[in-house]
Amino acid sequence: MHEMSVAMSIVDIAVSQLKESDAARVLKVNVAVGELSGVEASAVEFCYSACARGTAAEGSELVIERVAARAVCPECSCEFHPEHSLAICPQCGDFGGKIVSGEELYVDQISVE
Amino acid sequence: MKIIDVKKDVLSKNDEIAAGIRGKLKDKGILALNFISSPGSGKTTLLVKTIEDLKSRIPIAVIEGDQQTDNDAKRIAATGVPVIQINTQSSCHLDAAMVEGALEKLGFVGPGLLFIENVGNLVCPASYDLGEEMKVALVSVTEGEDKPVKYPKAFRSSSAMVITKTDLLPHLDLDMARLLDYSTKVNPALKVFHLSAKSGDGLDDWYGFLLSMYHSLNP
Ligand SMILES: Nc1nc2c(ncn2[C@@H]2O[C@H](COP(=O)(O)OP(=O)(O)O)[C@@H](O)[C@H]2O)c(=O)[nH]1
Ligand SMILES: [Mg+2]
Ligand SMILES: [Zn+2]
Ligand SMILES: [Zn+2]
Repeated sequence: MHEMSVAMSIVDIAVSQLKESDAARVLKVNVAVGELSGVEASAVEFCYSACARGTAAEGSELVIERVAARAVCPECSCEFHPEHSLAICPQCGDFGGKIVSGEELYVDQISVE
Repeated sequence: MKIIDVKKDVLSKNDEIAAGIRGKLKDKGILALNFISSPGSGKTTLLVKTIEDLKSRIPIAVIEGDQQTDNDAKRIAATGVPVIQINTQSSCHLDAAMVEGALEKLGFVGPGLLFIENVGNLVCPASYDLGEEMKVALVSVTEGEDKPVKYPKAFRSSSAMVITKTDLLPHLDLDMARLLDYSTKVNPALKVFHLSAKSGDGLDDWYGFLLSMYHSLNP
């Protein structure tokens, strides 16, 4: 499933960043997951430790920072919480709401030793 | 303990591989299209028909993504063009590394058209760049009007939308104006085709589009 490949990419990024440092192992990985990223955070958490097994990130802690969705309407400039990545303005019904946050899916920082 | 600031997109590795593929395809004059849709929208049928009608004019190769079987690859192989099947197994999408591997096996020297049939699903294939020139989203007339609003990312990341199985329209109550209204709202730049691989209606427009893109890549 999809979250498995996401978890694998997170481990890859953490391990390759570790290699660029002088540390030996990854202790913690902080990942930002937007509400609209299409990724189920709990499912990533579920497979993370299995993906990290046998790598320098084995046993590390995965910390998911959930990012709430926000959108701004270009018509009436109101700011709102979009239900999904098609941001329909609750005030005027415009479909063109610009997503300002919630689509994030990135490794924020890692803790190493 | 030390904290390292990373700020790296989870899909960045995929995007790097995709950029490499895009460069190589361009050098070879290969125009790659990534077809995405729900299962059963008519991707394989349209590809088979397109190949039959264009293969004498342009070299064509196909990469087939399928979770389990190689039924689709067999249908393509029957047309005589080279095809590589990627069995994604548990994965619900193709990624750039899979396509890179398939391209090596395919040995398609180009110039020509490369059709990539993605796994049938409108969710994650939208997020994975495969190095294609464009994504093409298919919706069959039996799927109702609201696919573009239910899966906006798929229609936003696509450059063209193909409405398939139009031969069935007389039997359905599809509100075509509404489907078009939704798709324009989601992506005003979307190029829209209406066709039936069965009756042949609308195929000329579609072929004209493929040929003009191909010729602008290989003047
Ligand atoms: N009536 C009609 N049926 C079609 C057309 N194109 C595909 N189909 C049927 O739709 C079903 C699914 O098609 P297929 O190409 O396998 O869809 P895919 O899963 O997107 O590759 C098959 O039974 C096809 O025969 C069409 O233009 N008209
Ligand atoms: Mg198919
Ligand atoms: Zn508004
Ligand atoms: Zn997927």
